[in-house]
Amino acid sequence: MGLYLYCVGPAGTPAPDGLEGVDGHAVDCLDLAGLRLWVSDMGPAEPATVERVRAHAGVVEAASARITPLPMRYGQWFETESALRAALEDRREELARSLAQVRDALEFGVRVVDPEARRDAPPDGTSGRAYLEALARREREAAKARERGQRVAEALGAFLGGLVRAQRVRDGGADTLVAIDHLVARHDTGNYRRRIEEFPEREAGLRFFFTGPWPPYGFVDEEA
Amino acid sequence: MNSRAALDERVSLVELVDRVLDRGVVLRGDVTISVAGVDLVYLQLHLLLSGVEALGRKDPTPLPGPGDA
Repeated sequence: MGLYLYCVGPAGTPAPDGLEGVDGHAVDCLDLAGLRLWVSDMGPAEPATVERVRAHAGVVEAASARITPLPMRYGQWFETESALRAALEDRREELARSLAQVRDALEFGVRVVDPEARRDAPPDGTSGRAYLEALARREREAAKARERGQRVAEALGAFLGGLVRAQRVRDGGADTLVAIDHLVARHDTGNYRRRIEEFPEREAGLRFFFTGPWPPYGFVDEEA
Repeated sequence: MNSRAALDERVSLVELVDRVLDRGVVLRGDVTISVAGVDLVYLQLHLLLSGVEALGRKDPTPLPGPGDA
């Protein structure tokens, strides 16, 4: 049928036992191109749903119990083993670099929300100058929010110091001022959790949501 | 479930969906994945976040424990 790929890790890491993946398909391990792959023998992935996203993530999480794999994005499917091998060999160096970066580390997420921010639509029923002014005002507010988000991310990175191996900042959408990912060494996760919970007191008026640990989805080159 | 717990759970779900659908390694860029029912997650997040102000400001959300995320 084909191979659906969940994640890749260093060769020789333990295989999952009795694990089920997307749509209940069994998960197997396969050694190819010097890597251990977590795969399901199945047809191409169906459209993503929350259940399928959870199933994909469940396999990656299981693979992350002892080592840190590189998670694949949902939907990576190959018609044959040789096609998968060729894709891996094409990217061998990039994959090796990414694996080295995330080795023995996990990802944490920080989502920062400004409850005062309102992304109101321009007023209905107006036209011409008033409408354009409303649009310009909204754009100015959005730019200020982006700048503030960057400042918060930088301040948080400085506050955490050496507890963070790498930081990535992204636009979180959905009323989020900024969304930040931290790559943290496994042995530092306890200290990281304790330290980060002290940070919100320094940023009055903002709401912080902390999640993790996650496999390092945000610390792989997308086109690895 | 109270509104705070519901909000925390929704944020975790959005973080999960963001990761699995928008990040991670892409070996095959030609795979097109349509999304069924996932936009709803963002809509629900928006609605829940609009209630954040009412939850109070001096009470940072604690980190979820292992497996909660």
